[in-house]
Amino acid sequence: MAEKKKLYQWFDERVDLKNIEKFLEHKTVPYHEHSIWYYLGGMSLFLFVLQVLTGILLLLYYKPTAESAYESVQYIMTEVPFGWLVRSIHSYAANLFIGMVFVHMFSVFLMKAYRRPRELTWISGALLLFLAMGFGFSGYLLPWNQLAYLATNVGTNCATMVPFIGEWLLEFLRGGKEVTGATLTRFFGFHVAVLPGITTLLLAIHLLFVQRLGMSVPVSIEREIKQGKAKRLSIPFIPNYLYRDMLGWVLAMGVIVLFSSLFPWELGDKADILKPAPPHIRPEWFFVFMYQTLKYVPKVIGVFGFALAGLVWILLPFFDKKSNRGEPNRLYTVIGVFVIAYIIILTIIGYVAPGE
Amino acid sequence: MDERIPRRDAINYLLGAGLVALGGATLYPVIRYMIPPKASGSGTASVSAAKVGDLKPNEGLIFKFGDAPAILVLRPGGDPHTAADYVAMTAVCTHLNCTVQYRTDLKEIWCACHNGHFDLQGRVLSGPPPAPLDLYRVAIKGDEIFVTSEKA
Amino acid sequence: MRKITVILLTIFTGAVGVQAKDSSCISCHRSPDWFSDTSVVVAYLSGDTHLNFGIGCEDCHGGNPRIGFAEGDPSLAMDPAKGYKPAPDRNGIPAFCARCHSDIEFMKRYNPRLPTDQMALYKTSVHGKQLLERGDPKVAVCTDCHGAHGILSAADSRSKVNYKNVPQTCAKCHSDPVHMAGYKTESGKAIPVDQYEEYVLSVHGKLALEKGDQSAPVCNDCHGSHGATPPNIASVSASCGECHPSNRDFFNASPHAAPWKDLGYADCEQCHGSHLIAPATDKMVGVDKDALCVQCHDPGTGGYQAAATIRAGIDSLRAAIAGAEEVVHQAETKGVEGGEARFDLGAAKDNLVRVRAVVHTFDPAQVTEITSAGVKTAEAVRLTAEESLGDLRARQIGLGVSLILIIIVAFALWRKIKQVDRRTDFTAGA
Repeated sequence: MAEKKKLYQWFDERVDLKNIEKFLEHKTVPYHEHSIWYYLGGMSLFLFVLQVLTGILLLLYYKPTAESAYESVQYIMTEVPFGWLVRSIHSYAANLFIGMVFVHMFSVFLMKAYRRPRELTWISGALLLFLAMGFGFSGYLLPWNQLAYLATNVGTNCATMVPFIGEWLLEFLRGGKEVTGATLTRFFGFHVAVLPGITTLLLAIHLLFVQRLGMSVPVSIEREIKQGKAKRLSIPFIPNYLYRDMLGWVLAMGVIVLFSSLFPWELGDKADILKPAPPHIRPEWFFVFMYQTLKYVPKVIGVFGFALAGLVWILLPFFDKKSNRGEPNRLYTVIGVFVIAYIIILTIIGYVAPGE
Repeated sequence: MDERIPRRDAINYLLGAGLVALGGATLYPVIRYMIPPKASGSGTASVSAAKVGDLKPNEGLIFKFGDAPAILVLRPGGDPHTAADYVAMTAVCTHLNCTVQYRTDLKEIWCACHNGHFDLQGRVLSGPPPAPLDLYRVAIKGDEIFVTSEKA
Repeated sequence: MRKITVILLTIFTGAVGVQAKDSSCISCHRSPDWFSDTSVVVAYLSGDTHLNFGIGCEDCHGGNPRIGFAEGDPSLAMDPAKGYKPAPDRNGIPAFCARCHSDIEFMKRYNPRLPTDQMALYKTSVHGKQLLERGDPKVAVCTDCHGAHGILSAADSRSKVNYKNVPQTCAKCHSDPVHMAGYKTESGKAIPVDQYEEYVLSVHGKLALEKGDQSAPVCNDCHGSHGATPPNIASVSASCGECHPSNRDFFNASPHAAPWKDLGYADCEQCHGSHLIAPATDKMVGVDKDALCVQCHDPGTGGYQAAATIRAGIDSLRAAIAGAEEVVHQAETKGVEGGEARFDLGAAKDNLVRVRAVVHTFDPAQVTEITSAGVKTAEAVRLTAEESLGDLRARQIGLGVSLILIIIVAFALWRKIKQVDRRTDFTAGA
């Protein structure tokens, strides 16, 4: 045990372990009827780490060229021991991750956790959501199957709707005028280098703020506490909160592993650039609500609308004066519910409606 | 002697053992995944078709290239150790996709289905095939004969 | 052939251009003062192959090309003393052309590879016999197919005797009911006029005319060009067998060969037609009401039995391949099959292609040998693919173990949470 103490002292001298230990020992997390939503952030983090680890494993065998991509994924699925598992986990967890990030964001929104002093946490979080969607979009193409090829075609086409730089943006994304092997290589670069780099930075910032500022308590509950109607409850981060986090992670792992084994992610047919596109192509599910909206409004209005909405969404903390004052803001709650409902309904319509 | 394990320790044991077991169950597939399998890498880029000595001069053999058959021939009077004395090409006949073979009497590639003849450059000599057979590149490394598609 | 022509054309065009310009024949015959119809010269000057070889008007027609135009006196050029003869009538055209084209020494100087047997062949042909022995001017003579003054090499795609244009050239007469009225075959029936119509719809026609595939036959590939004769019954399979040798050999060794000869049936044509040759299908064989076999073979006969067996064999092979294909595809898209199976299935597909030629032996034993081997291969492939899919089950069992571990850990965590919560003062801490 003396060795343990020596080791501790060695690191403490360099890394200030004592302070970190003190911080962690005393760190607590609010405990109230809505505190269950707190775990979504950690869940998103867990899923992201899972993606990074499975992604690194896939990198050992994946080949990012049009001639070899599909075959290399087939190789991983059929020849590499447990390759099917690693790949299926990566695919299922990817979708779960994006879904989780959306739910995390909306729960934060409805609890008004974005209000002062957590504006920067919210902004970094919103940007992380866009990065997550970028991960999803770029990663989807990598197996180079017909479905992914068509979805990418349709998705990148939307770049042309951006005024002025639309065409340039399209070529930048595609690595050319059409979706080709060049697009694949480019998306690969985005997916394994560019996006992870930016995400790591933003994630570090996001987590730093969360550590510094702690968890936000919903306005209504703060009021109750101030009015003496309720006590301010909390649980220690270590071990109570952490065990709960771990429980969530283990259950998530179970669900992912269950689906990966019962329904291994399919290979599909290899992308054939010359085949005509069938009707009913859509981008991945988390883009469908936008894609479907663009079918009902003129393209330019739709694109502008979403861009504007995105901007307002990011800058929300600066518009919601009431929450900043600690007052409940029904309007924003309603807006939030409306946005959630809109996304869900449009997504459903996107899947159920007869295609064009 | 009270051997009953207090509940606190029981749960700790269960949690500890469970986590270790789960960790092992996670690590096992990861380790096995990282060790490269025996089957050569994905893609049709390069295949080890045969070993030097498998073919005698004026002999051919069919091997798997990607998921289609290909044919390797050692020319009449050729040296088994010289890569230039081998020819390799797709064995899928360009007429109706039958698998061709090497005819030691004719010293040509021949398709049994409709009597198509190809020379050792893959060119059509006679019969219904409308197009020549795509050639592959042959290289010898050690005692293995590697075949790669020209485009690779 | 084409290369030599091009080289020679290039060499001679230069030399010839000068000559043509000076020729009085050309000068008169293209001058609107003398002729309203200058098409002959226009055709000749537009790349006629004789022109390119330096053969001028006088070489065929005689006369003196150096004089006559400037003087305004045609008789100076069209001078019998210089060999001028008027253009021959239809009956005289073959001999007219043959004067050079059957002269081996002469032709060697211009194109040693060009055949010189056209006249000899023509004399044996139906066209030749009608013309030369019976003086019938309605049949084809050299100029009908080759033209007279704008003659192009057969390799030239504009030529009327170019591969792709041959059917239309023949059809000019042979599809004209008025022109063909009165002509009868050897057996006394009127010669049909629907060959072109049928040919265009046939496998060969579509390949040749629509796809430009030169391996498909046009009229002269089966009938000959100069020695054009309808193939006699004895020679139909020989004609088809030029390109379909396996089928010919199988057929000639089959039990159909001798009886059909006795019955006067035209080998391949009996089942496949001559001009309207449709893509062959498995349906042609068997005992269904639209199969060909039952048109002669009655139920209960050996032939009927053989037909049924052969068709059953082919059907079973096709079904086995389809079945295996389905499982393989499933395994591939589910990601448990890496291509081995598809490779092995190729062997069974080879069998299917081969057996469709072997059908022409009409021998159930030979057919079944191939089909049963193919079925065995296909079945083995299907089994392997199904095993791969079965591997999925094994995986799930392995996964079950992991899930149990997860549940254990989750349970332990839950109990642990309860435990530490019991010790926790929820009101402490901010």
